[in-house]
Amino acid sequence: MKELTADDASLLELVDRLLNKGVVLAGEATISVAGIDLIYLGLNVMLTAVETLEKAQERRAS
Amino acid sequence: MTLDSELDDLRREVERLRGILPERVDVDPDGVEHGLAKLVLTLVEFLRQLLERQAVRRMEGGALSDQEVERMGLALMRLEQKVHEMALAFGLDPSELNVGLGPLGRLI
Amino acid sequence: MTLLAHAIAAAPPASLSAGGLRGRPLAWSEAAAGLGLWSTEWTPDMKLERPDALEHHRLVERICAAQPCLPVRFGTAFPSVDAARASLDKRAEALRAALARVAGKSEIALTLLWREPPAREVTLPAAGPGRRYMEARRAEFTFREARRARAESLVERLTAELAIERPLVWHETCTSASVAVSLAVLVPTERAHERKAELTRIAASFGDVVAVVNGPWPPYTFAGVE
Repeated sequence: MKELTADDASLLELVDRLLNKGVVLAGEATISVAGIDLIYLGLNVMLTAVETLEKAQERRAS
Repeated sequence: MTLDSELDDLRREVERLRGILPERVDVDPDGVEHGLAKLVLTLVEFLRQLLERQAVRRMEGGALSDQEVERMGLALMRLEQKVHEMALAFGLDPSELNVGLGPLGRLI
Repeated sequence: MTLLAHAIAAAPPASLSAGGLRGRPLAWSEAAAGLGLWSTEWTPDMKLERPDALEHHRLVERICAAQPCLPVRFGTAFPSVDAARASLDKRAEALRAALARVAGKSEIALTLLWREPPAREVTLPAAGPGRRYMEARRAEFTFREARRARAESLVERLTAELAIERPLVWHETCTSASVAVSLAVLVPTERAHERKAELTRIAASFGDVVAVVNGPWPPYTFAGVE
């Protein structure tokens, strides 16, 4: 089971703030700049963060 | 709706999904298909875990015979394997399906 | 001109010696209701990437240091200045109320990580594979419930010892296998470091978790409007 370090946790918290918090103006704004990509971006950015963390952990472990 | 029929329905949904999606998918990590597969499988995985939780509760409640427990366990086990296989088919690590459930995570 | 939004503030705009993302111009779009939007002039074909998210955070920090502001969710974009203005006008009252709530305040973030990994060793009864699967799942759920209960009690202790009102605290428990608690508190900026130290001290008294404290940050978690 992969465990998080303090740095990992900090990055995840920050990414969570940026992607999941803050004022949502979605109702009015046309989020068509990245369009549907943005939803995936959200997942991708978050998942990329997790992937990067996991790779870093693997490196540390080896 | 009995648990058996719920399982059957979910199993049918998984099969149907499998049928809808083409055999070979261009697994471009930045592609929309890849992102879509991840979203769909994350949802399927969530539902699967929800179902498992319900099943265990029913077992704990003493409502099931030994035979029913065995049957249910096998069905759930097969479902888990199926979702696992589908994840791999899309180049996803099954553990990726558990990321970012947020408030929904509390249900399972 | 497409605008990538960063934060909402009350007019007049603070004088910022900052640029937008990727060296692009930083724009202030003022609405009728005395509110304005800080944003980067963007182009529709540009896709957002991870470094942009972090740069957005740094920019929001600078804006919030210069004037009270509401961080906008990263990735929010408007197709034109008029669209941005219209959006602000539409929610003006709620936005002003939210701004008043967070003005002069910062967010401190606390993460509590379980020291022990999830228990994996489980003795299963001698039985068919289906039953063994069910028993394994049951053991797993029981463990998770226990952790959830413990996490909630940690939040109760933190809230009580910090002597902070409920509306100024946000939390989630067991957001992943490693995270017991994710907590955010809204505190006056001038007391931020003091409150951060308090939070660290209280959290350090819990033996089964490791505490990670972040901030002061802009009030992301408390900026929401309904």
